[in-house]
Amino acid sequence: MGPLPVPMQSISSLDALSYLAPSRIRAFVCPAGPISRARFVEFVAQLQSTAVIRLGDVTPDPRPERVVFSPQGFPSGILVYNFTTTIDQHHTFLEDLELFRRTMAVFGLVDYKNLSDISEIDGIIPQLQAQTPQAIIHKVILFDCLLDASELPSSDYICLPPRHASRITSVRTVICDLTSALLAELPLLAQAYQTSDNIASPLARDDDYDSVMLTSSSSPHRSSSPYNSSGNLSSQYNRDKDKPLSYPLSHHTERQRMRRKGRSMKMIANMYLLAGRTTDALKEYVEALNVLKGVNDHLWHAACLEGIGMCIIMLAFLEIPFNVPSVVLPPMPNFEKKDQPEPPHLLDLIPQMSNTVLSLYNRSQNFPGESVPQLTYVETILRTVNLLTCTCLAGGWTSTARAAIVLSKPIPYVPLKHSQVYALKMGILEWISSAQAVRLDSVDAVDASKILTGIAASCGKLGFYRKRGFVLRQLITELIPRIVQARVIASNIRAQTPEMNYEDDPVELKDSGLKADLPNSGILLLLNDICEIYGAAIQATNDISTFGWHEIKTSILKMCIELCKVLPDHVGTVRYIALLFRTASADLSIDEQLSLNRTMRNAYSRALSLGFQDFEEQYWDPYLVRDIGIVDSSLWAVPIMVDVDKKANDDGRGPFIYNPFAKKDTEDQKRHLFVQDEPVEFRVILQNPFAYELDIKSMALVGEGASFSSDVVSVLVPPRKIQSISIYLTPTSAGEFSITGCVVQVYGCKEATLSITPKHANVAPSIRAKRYGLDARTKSQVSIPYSEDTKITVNVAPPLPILRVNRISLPQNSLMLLEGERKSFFVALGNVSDQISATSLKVEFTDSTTTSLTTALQQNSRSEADRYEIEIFLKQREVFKCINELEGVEIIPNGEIQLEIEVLGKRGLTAGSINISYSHIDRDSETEPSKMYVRTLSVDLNFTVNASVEVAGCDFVPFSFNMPMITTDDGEITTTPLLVKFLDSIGLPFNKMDDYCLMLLDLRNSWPKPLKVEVTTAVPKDASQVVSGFIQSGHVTRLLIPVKRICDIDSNAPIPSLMPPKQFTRQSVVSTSELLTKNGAWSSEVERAVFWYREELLKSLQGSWCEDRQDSNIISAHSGSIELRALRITPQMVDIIRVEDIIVDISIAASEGARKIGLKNWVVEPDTFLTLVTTISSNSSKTIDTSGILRLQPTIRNLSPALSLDVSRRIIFNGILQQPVAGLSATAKKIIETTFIVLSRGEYEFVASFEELSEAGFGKRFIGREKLVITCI
Amino acid sequence: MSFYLAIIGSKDNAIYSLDFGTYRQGGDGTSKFSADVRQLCPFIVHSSLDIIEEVQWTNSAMHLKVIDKFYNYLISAYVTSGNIKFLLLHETRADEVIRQFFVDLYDLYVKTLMSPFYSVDQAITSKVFDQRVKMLAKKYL
Repeated sequence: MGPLPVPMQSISSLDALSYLAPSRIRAFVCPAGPISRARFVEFVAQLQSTAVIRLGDVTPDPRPERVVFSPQGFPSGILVYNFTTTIDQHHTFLEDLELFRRTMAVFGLVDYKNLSDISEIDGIIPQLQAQTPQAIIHKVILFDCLLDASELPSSDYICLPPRHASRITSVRTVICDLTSALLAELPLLAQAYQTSDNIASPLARDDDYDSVMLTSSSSPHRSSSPYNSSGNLSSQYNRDKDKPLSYPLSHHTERQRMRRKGRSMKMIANMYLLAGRTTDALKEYVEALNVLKGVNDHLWHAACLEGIGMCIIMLAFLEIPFNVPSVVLPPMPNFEKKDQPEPPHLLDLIPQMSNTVLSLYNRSQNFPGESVPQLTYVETILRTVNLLTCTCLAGGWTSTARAAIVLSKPIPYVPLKHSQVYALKMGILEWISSAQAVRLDSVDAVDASKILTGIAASCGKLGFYRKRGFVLRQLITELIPRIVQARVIASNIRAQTPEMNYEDDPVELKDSGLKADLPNSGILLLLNDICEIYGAAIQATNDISTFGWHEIKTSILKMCIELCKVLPDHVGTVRYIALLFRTASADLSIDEQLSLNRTMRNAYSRALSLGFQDFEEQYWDPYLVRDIGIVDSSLWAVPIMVDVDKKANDDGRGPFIYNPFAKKDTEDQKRHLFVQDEPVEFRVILQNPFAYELDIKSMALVGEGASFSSDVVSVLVPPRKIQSISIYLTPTSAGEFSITGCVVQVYGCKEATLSITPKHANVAPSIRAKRYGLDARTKSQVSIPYSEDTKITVNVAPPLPILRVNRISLPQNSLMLLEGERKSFFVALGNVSDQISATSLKVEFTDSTTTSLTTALQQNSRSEADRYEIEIFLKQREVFKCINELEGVEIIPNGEIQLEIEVLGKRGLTAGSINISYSHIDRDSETEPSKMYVRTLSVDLNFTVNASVEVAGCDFVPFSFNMPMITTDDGEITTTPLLVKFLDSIGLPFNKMDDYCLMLLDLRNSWPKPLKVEVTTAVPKDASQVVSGFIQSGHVTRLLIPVKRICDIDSNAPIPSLMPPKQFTRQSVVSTSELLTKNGAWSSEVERAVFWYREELLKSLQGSWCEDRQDSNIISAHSGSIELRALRITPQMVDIIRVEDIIVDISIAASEGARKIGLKNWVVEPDTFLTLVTTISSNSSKTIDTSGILRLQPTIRNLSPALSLDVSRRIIFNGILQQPVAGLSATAKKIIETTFIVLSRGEYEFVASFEELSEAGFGKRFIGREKLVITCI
Repeated sequence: MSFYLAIIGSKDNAIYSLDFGTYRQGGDGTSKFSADVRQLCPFIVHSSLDIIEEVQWTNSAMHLKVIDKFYNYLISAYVTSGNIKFLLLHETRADEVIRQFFVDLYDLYVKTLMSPFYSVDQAITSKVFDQRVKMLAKKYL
């Protein structure tokens, strides 16, 4: 049964450094028999609450020889117990000088409930006696015991019934009974001291000659003194100090006798003090003081003085009038001069007395054996400090102050003026610094910490928190080496006893047992307090404290770590390393960082294995998360929000083409759009500025707004690196959310939310100092500025389908085509989504030809016809075409559809892409959403377009009537057989030949295989005519194609544009075409005519080609169309193609003198009357009648123009050659006959022309196609 | 003789600290503190801030003279109007010389404070300041 380490937290003991602490009786309470810790603590607390006993309540012992310290002597006095749970073995040497250190009473506490048999307690008393022989009473208290006193083994066993069972026998009565017993035993002790030969000073040594000189009092005759009944107590006490008897008795002088007497008187006085007989104590002390003063026994003299001080204070507390003994009054001359001066105030007296005590103590240092122990010296100071502090806090020498001093009652807060307590405080500071000045080298660890905590406590009470911090720091630096030393000794002992099971460190086991549930108690509380004073403790992540002295903070934290390491307190180690990293990571060397990190990891894992929880600190680097960004992935199709009806979009644009106030689209583009239930990748950039690897156990994104779930990753950031990691995140609901940071748990740290480091993380403390010193502690936290741009805001669209191209019927997405060829292929689209069907499918195409054509179109220097040509190629020669009808098509989840796409070989096509946009519109929903999210899937394709058949050139030939005519036998007029054969081959009747002209089309075959070409002319009214040919590779073939001449089109209409009309475009084109005209190009009129006739011509023509099926494989045979738009025609060609609106035809009326030899050739005889028939026929569909002038122009054939016109003497006309023709209605004919006579032989030509009259005066002129040739023989 | 000078801001933060020795009596201007004491200097000076806070309200003078002691070391203090504390740890009592030193130091400090690139409670890192303080120390102490 050894002294148990009992946690004293729950026991409120009296202040051990109170001024009156030496007046308390030390009583050792120990558990006896089976008792639980909690019960024991409860019992001790019960005793503690009754530590103060009024002597009037104590029954005196009836025995006459035991009345010396009878309570009846001073009934109003009090006796105070100091209940402890430890036996102070170290201070045995002090017990003579300071009797209060001696354990006077021993109480064994028994839990009666746990007791099975009353006989169990029999052996307790002897055990206690053996353990603590110095005590004068040994009692056992049976708690919750209802037994009668007679049932107990002896009177040393006392029953304490439970509180509810008996009101009569309370704890107080029991204690009073025990006190009575104690007081009865006290005289025996007093006798023992009085009979003792020697009362030695604490530091006296046996082998010290001087000390023996001074203290030796061994003499045989002393033993015959009347007080020779001390029994075993004194002999026990003096067991260590058996004096050598070899010294001569001559040393035993009068002085030493007086000293011994004085000392024993002092002992008695001390006992009176302990027994509560204060007045007697005061008297005895004064007497002892006088004796000791006389013999210069400084140490004991000082002790007496202290005792007197205590008596005075106690009497003041009891409010019993007394006279301050004159010996303690200061020998001030001032007092003597005045008549009966007012006695000095107690408050002044006590410090003066303490000063005297200290000076006496100092003087005692000159006598080695008699010198004062450091502990006593310091405690004297501290007791004085305590007294003064209590007074100071209570605001003067009030009853509260006295109660606080005597009974350690807490002082309620008294508001005091600074000036009121300033002087007192400064005085206390003097005392404190003198206490600090005492070297603690020879004091053991427990005493040193007691002293230092005593100093610290006083500093704290007075509000000198920095001083307190300094003292506590000193305490810890004192403790660390001592603990290390103790550890070394313990491990040596362990090493010497190998049979001991040392798998686990017993200290750690103890730690775990004591503190697993109290991680924030004990030493950590103390360290926290120190750190707070020095501004080293910070709680919130984002705050940076500007408070405190950096150098000190670092030093303090290192000290804390050191202490926690040696204890070992793993929780504390983890905490303070975290704090150190936070406070001073920049000042630590690489080695320090590495070793600290190693220590921390070890401590953390140890602490976890010991069962600690929630003790981690925040991670120390608030800038861990440098940045967060969205990773754009090709795998992830970004949807676009579009308006369902296009009108809404147009309306929003307003009347202005450019509105400078309109919101820029870029803002919206910046915002990212995610889709619900689809994971997106984020890139998080982490920094590790430290020299060790950063072990991030878990990390996830956090944000606000719509819900999402983030992946949790763990990552290892290498030392001194910035690393980017990717985290996937899945939005779980539609809406808007923003990512603000990450939840990070670093190994050994608390899980914390770290927001993204702002770009300008300039932490500037406020330049206004509103609070100073320690007040500034709470207000000097500077938060890291948090700005809006440090979060990433994204929109989340409702769930959308995802389409993928499952198959495509092109190998490697590539296709070879010949120009003009059409091929089709299949694209199989699958819906990857499990739940969402894809609707609103729309296919759009882009290809490589578009861009070049678009740029060509944008050049302003092009004529309108050219532009139209480009537009045709852009708009009407579409490369791709989707064959399927996509309206209302829906791809069910995990379903598939097949798209058939046709592609046209177009020159310049190298690549193309199919963009399939799709969305999801819930058909069941009643309201049609105005906007929808559209995703686009694009398929890129590669093409090779080889040249096939191209137009090399073309020309037009009219079917001329100059061709030789042959009159057949039956009178039919025909032409050469070759021409007839040709006309037959194309199915053209000879007599209708004039309606046609012949197109000579040169086609080149650029394809390495021979190709068959076919050109079809299909005019709606007539049957189509097909001309085909066969072109060898690389050759040019000319095809002869009869083309029906074109009549009656409005060639003056403006050239259209296929593009949507743009403002200002038209004007600019007009101006450019004017520009071109000036440069010698065609006039716009001609250009338009050419344009319209070409268009008309192209309408009727279609060309196609195919590979010869005999040569090549049938399946892969290419075929396609010929791009006839490559035709270029000139105004001359237009004249050939066109059928005039008004046709002027002239002929000779049949007569005797005229013989027709060709279609327009006549042979006439001279001097015969001939009739020239001019037929004016109108082909125009115009409703307005045409009027004009017919002109006939005869010329002599084959002469120069100057001569040829002179026909007046060769031909005589009846009438005039110019005549008006009026009222020629549409599709009507007018015949005008002119008679003439040819006078002279020769060949003549007649040409007729019709000049249309228009209001503007610029009518068209129509000239007869064929000249009439007359040969006069 | 060795000295330790610290300028403390309004939040117990050290703005400037310097340890130096005397040039008199054959000194070379470097401090002769032992390593332990040198380490303790900030703590000693810091702990006397408590006393400054007490004393400054009872005394209208800026120079508070010796306010605290620790073993053989004395601590003199000077509080500026902006509540910036100059603390000097020294070994012998020399109030008048120290007062002159503090007044000149105050002059230097005010000049620093007038710099547009310096704000209250910032650490003084100027080399010129450091040099001038050393010159003052040489002149007076």
